Amino acid sequence: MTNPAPHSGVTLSAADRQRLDQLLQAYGRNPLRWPDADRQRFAGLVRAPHQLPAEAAAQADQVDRLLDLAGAAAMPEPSAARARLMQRVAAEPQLASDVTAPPPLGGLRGLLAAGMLAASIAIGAFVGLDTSAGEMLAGSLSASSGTDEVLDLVLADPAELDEGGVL
Amino acid sequence: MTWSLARPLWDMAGYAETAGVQRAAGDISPAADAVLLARASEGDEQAFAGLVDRHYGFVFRVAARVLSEAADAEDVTQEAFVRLWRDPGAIDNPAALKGWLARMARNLAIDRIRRAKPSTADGLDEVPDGATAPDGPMRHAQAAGMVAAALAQLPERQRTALQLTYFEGFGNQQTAEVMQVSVEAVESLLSRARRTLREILSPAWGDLIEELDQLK
Repeated sequence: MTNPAPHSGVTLSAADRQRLDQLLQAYGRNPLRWPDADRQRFAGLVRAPHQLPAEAAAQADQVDRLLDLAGAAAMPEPSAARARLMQRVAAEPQLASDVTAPPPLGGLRGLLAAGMLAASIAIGAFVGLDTSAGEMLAGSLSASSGTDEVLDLVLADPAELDEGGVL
Repeated sequence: MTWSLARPLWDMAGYAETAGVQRAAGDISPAADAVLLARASEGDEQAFAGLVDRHYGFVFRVAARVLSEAADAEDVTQEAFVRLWRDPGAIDNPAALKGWLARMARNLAIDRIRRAKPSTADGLDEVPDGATAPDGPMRHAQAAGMVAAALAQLPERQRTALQLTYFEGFGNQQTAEVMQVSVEAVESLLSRARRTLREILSPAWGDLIEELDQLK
């Protein structure tokens, strides 16, 4: 059974009316507070709120207004509460800060580690340049000319490109 | 880095600009939370102060709706933030920060009530006594106080559901996640909350509505 709602073109089924009652009882009179899906379902009523079930809407409106009244009289935040919180935070360690970094290498051990690192870099560079890695490096250097061509295309005047038949 | 009281808590423009986040007044975008959380996880107290600035009022209101004393609500709010400070990595998704804080504050507040009154721990959902009708014409402040007192008498779960959805603008899905219940349960709690509120205030209902009509 459906009841056409005048002036809005909204037609409400029995299920629609039942759901509207539930919405008014749970979320109040203002459709902006309803769940998204219900707001979309009753979009016609959102534009014509006078079509809502009168008694249920009036009761919901009264509770809404009382809630608004109470919301304005909410418990005030204690003064300096945020400063007290930050003072406590300053004294609290973080979980991540419990992880201690290893001590720096020093003296003879440090020199030895630095020497080994330098030697491995030098050997790697020599072997790499002498073999396929060297060829790859040479290839990438020559490819830069290709990159320049692409840049020329991007930066060129569009009119020139049209004339050249590129586009 | 040490945090200084001399610097305003809300002076976080530098962090917002660094990440390309617009720092508008009242900006509550998860993107700004993400930046501040990342910095806080590196031990940056200034960034954490930014998170406190953005969310302290909200967390305090959630705690205050469960507890009746401002000092208790402050303790709970402080504890919720300290737990966040200790382990910012607990927040996987910065968009979920507000919900995480609300859930933490609510759970801590309930724990506090249970510790203080172990005999009534199971009575959080008891239906309270009704309100008494005032003598003579009701004034605005008196009406507001009466409704606030009635709200405070609501069972905790009904109160929290109302606080999050009506006063804080949470969606029912988000409220369900904070309260760890289904969306249907949230809707049921909201209906019962509004019905219980009417029952508590029924002795003074006519006067309250008359007062509201005079405010129009």
